[in-house]
Amino acid sequence: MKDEDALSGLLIIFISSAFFSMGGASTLIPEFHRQIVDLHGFMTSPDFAKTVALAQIAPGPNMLIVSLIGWQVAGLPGLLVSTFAIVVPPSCIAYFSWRGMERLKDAAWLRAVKVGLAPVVVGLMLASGAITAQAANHDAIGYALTLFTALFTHFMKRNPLWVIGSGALVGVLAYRTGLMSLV
Amino acid sequence: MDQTPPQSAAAREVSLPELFTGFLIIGLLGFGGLAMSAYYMIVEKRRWLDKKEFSELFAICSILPGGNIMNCTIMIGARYQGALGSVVSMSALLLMPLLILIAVAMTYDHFSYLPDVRAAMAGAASAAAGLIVATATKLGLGVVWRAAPIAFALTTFVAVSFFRAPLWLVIVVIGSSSVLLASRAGKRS
Repeated sequence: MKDEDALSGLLIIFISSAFFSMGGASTLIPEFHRQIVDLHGFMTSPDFAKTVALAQIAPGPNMLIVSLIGWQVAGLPGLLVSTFAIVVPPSCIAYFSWRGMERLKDAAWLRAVKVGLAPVVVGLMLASGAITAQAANHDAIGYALTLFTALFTHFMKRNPLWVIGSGALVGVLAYRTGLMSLV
Repeated sequence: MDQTPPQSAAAREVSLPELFTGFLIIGLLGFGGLAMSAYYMIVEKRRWLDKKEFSELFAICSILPGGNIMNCTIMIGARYQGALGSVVSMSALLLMPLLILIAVAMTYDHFSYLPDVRAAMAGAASAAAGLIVATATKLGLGVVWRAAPIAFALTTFVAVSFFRAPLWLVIVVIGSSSVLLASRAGKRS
């Protein structure tokens, strides 16, 4: 019974999020956190942050973070339902709109949408970083690591895998030296 | 409904097995976003689309709901092999990443009782947050920052991170105002 609630909850959350997604999965993280952690309590905030990090380790579309959330909340059925929700409805729209592409591509409104949404996407992405930081960090070491990673990644071009790996190494060192405690 | 699909510079055929292997590799190579690996495979390696076609397709796929490369995958599949092409291409794109994701999650679940693994994961999560912040600041470099865009970006940030505003509200209120303003500015120039 509980599991069915979780599955239908995941289905509804991810289908509705897909329709408001713009600029990729990172802009959806605040909405996922709001729904999954704050509203439904499917996951704790620190677990949510770990899921965001784990999702970065696997290759493929960033959207697959929803598959991982589904896995954490309800196992394999959760993963399948969540993947279906984020992939199938938008794919149907894409399939039926590809014939109209020729007419779409030069439209002035397409440019207006791109230009107009750009600052909103930046704002969403920043909020996404802030919410993930709040969920991930519970002490000064954590926030320092987030800040350093942000500065480093902004100025140096490095594979995200490399950055996440370094973060993990710092985590172990900070724990071993007693600088960081585990929650 | 017998419109001619968008014509390629070289109107060529791409078979189902070609689509499958192409998107399988795109999925496998794409760490931290697929745009790079998709461009490499679709434009440079297999030449399914030229540079201009790819960027036009990408622009449209970015404003449609859902993942941008996932939408491109559906459209390219449809263009060369119809509905079956879309299904085959999307399955190929997701197959390996999903298997790897499950392997990663199972491995973590198995070892998460070890303090070192939990510490590593906590560090990785802090770093992931920093990674997202940097994505935002890098993206911000591409925006022309006049008064209006700054106001829209700030309002979005405050509404979402401090007041936990739902996404639909942000898009309906802030997004549509920003687009409206941009389209007016576009008409004037």
